[in-house]
Amino acid sequence: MTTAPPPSLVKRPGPVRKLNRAVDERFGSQAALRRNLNKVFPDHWSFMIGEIALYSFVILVLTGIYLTLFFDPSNVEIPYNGSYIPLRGVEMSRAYASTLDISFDTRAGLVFRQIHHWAALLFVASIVVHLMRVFFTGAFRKPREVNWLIGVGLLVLGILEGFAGYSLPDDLLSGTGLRIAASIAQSIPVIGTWASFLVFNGEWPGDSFIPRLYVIHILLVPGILLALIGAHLGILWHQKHTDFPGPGKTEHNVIGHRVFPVFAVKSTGFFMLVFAMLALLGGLAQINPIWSFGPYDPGNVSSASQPDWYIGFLDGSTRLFPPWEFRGLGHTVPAVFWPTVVLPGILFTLLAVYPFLEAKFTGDSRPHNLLQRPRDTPARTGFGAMAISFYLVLWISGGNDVIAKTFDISLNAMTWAGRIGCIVVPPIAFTVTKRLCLHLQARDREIAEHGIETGIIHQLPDGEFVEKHRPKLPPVPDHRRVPTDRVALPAGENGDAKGGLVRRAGKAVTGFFVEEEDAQGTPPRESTGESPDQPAGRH
Amino acid sequence: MSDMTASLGAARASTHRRRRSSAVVLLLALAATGVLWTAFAPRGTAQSTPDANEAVRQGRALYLQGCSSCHGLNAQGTGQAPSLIGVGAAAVDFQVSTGRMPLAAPGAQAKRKDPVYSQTQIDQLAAYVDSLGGGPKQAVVTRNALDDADLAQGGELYRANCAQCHQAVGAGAPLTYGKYAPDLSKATPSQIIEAMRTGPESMPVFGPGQIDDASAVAIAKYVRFVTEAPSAGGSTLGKYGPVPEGLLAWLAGIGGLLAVCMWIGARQKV
Amino acid sequence: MSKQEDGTTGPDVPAESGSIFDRAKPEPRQGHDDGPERLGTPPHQTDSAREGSTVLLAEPGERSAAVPPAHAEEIDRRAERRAERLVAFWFMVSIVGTIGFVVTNFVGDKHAEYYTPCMGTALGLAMGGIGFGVILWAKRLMPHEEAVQERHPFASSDAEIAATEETVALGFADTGLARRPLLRRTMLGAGTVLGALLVVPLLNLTNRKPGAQLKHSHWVKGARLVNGEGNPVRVGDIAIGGIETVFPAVPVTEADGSVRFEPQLSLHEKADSVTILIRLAPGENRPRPGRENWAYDGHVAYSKICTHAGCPVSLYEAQTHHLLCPCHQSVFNVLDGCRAIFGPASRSLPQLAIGIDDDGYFIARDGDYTEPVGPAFWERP
Repeated sequence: MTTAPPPSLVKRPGPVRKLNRAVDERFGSQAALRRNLNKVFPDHWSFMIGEIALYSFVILVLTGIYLTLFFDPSNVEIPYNGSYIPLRGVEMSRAYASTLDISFDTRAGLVFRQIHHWAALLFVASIVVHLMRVFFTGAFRKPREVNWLIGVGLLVLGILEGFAGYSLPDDLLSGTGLRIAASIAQSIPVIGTWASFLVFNGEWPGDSFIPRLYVIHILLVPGILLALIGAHLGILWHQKHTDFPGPGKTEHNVIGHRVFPVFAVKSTGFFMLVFAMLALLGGLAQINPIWSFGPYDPGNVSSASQPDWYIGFLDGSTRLFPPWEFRGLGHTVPAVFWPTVVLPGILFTLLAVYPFLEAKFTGDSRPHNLLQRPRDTPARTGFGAMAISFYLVLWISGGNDVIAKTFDISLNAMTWAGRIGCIVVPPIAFTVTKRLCLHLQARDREIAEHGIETGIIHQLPDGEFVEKHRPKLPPVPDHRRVPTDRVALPAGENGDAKGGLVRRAGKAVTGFFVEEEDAQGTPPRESTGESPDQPAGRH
Repeated sequence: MSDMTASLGAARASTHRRRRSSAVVLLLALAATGVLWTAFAPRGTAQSTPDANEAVRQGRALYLQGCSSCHGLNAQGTGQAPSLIGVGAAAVDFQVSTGRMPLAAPGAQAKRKDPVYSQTQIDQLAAYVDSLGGGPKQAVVTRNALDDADLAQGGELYRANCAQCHQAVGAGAPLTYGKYAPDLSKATPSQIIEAMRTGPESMPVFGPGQIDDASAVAIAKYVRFVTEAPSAGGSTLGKYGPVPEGLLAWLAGIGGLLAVCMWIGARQKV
Repeated sequence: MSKQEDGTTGPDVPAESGSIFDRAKPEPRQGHDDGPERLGTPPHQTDSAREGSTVLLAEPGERSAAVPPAHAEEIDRRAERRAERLVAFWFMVSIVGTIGFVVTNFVGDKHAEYYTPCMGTALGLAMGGIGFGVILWAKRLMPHEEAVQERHPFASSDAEIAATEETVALGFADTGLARRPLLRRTMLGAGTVLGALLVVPLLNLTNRKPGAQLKHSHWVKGARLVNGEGNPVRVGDIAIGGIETVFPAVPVTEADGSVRFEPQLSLHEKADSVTILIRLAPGENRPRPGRENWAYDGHVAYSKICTHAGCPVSLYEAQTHHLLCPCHQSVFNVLDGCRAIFGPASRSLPQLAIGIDDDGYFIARDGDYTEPVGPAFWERP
């Protein structure tokens, strides 16, 4: 017996039960609450990668709020008078001065600034790893294409948000990055100069990019991110999580831990551990020491000026791209346009439409809830490896000066290696990965047919040596299986459990408008419902 | 207590009340640096004394033994190495005291290593080369000059003239075809100034007409500060900025959290 | 423990597969009867373990032969107590971390080197303590069972789809849009025009029109070359093999007729005027045709703004006379009119014609650069 009998109502409720009943009287929350507490999430470590991104976002918001209390988003130039001696008296923007103040003269300022920056790096990094997990296991397939699109949007916005934040302190490093960004905006054919002038309020550097970036960084993009994350999670919740095939697992069920308590407790713990990791990084590993770069000055630059890692691939593509600037008919298309606007445009578009392309080419229009192993889809895995290898070549090239210095390699050799590499390596990666997948498939088949090698060698009477194989045993579940519902209700009373909250809300609205028809008998919606739903509103 | 220690220590003491242990480490590092440069700081004034001729004579002996095979018997230069006539004592002091000369192995660029000659010998070599024709004198960085130098001005000049090659905090950076701007963490104030005045190898010359002596000392003071100052926010990750930061975010951040994921997701075996 | 069970219960199972079945086995030692009361949690003792789908488990009797139930329960209870103590330990770690954070925050010296590392470590302990604690709690002390939940297809029935579509169709018919083209077209027109209104706030972002701004810098005829501190540069200041970053100081005629030079050193002025002045050895410069007198006494001046993406090109190699841009590693050959010889830049750095004035200071002899400086743009010819 795994489902408890229906309990009777507690006669003298405590404060928690009282609150619950008060809420229920107003919203009819019990069925939905019970359903969601009993919701099942499959249990696999790779399903937690997206959570890293979610928790990083939460930490970004928390630390970001702290930073906004002290940051002064202003281009106005003032002489610095804080406690960092090597910059005393130096002219700088208020933005840079206040970032120095956060770092040196605000309690917990530097640690939260560093946590914020590490969290930004981790936010985008975990989105990328999560995306790879979703890609290689085919989790993006129908019915989850919309969530894939939202995810790609989150990645792009995360990168933009990170770049805006990196640019806010107005130090020499970020100013150099922003200078390049202005050149990129300016490189777009036809509208480029206008785009750049509108963003920077005139010719670079303008006098108002900091307040503008600030609004983008703390209001506009985070707002959209928040909305998209909400939609992403809402859709995930509604559609239920995918799972790997396993004993007892089918396209029509989910097996795992219920939200309450195991999943919720583990997730809380994981949030805390993500925070702990970021706190340790923020305290022990210095990141973006803006005081060493000095204030932005268009005449100055530091060698090894790099963007944060998630822009690195664009820096790399820009370094590798040949000097192809097209001039003619009184117009110029700058070389910088192709690797910084066209290339990411193509890459992210391909990424976004991949589920639809794959569905078109495979002709697979069925919904899928069970994941695939990468080896079972050699072509997709090969494409993924190809994309990753291309990205990696660009990424490494984005840091080729630091690599050249660290390992004593010629910078020019690095550039040429990158130029050749980004063309040669991806096809090799595709071929090798696809072959590897096919090889693994063949081995799987062999094990299925002949069993697993035992390492025990027998000599046959005719002198031949053979290895003994044992059959592969059928998989068994990891844990005891129980039904979802902890507490059973008699049929009828439990009846509305299947109607989703959305459907019930929809019915409430419909019921409000078509009450008479509803009362008269059998409107079509009711007749096709999967279960005899309760009338709109609670009794 | 060396001059360097005193001046830098004084500059920092007003901002940073540092933890004692880190201060000790810093003091040791500074003391080592300071000893190194104070050892030869008073040099360069010996030219007119009777000893000067003796120094030139001994320097020439050292030169013939260790340098002439490449630079020529009269320092006139050969196909392998440039002429040393007119390069000045500062060039000799810089090249030999940083161990770049004598050259260990041909390459894109001479590497810094432990000096082969003692400071006395270097001074003699410098006196000999100086006697061949003028050029920048060895740098003299007094304790007072360092004390008086304006750290903020040094920083501004460093960012305007040096950071583009040597990187914002003197970590160095690559140039074309295997050449590089070296890491400045081991450079003493006098070596920094001598490098500015003589423009060794790829480095441009920054003469006194451009950066006067006081400003040069300020730059040296700033370089010592950024290479030695305790970091405010934990490990500096090699001071190379976003590249090592990104690497750490992936290795420790993502790597560590994936390990946590696996631990959470692992089946409990009791 | 589990190994023993395997040994006793799975005679036909090879020994090396023991670990698979360890995991597969229900956890009989969860001892939930000992723990705090949980509503609806079934007993986890030996009989409930039989309900699992594992077929390779032995009968209860066999198991109890190996480990007496009473003894097993005792072990369970001890393991649970150990786990509970471990969780409590981590919660205590968290408290210590929190206290450490608060104390460091208020008592610590925020200028000290230890401050930020201590804050981070303390916060890490505060968060990590709870994190490890609750995860161990879930893993060691909560029931090891998996719930099975049905999935339902999302697609609605044909009847429901038909009804919905019909609802929309009927409603649309009621609007009369299909029958009234005038209404439809004017509405679409109004909507489109209104949508175009979105461009207005965008265009209001600046009052500065691109126009000719990008094609000019702040150099004017006779402007002195001044360094970053505003001091004019004259012949001899820069040694052979030296470089100087210079900016314009424009001549301003005062009321009394005297001329004053005003350095243009604001960020905006620096951004398009920054110039690198290089002194080459006599005879080294190979001027381009038509630029024979743009240099003065071995001094050449080029725009410091990379023609690729606008970074200051300033890594000057005095021996090879190459200028390297630190952002994307374009290389320019100073001796050859700063032609781009490597990397993504395709255009030479623009050259500024220089001379000296009566006082011996360098000036922009002919005025501004003869072409737009910096990165290219659509309107650039």
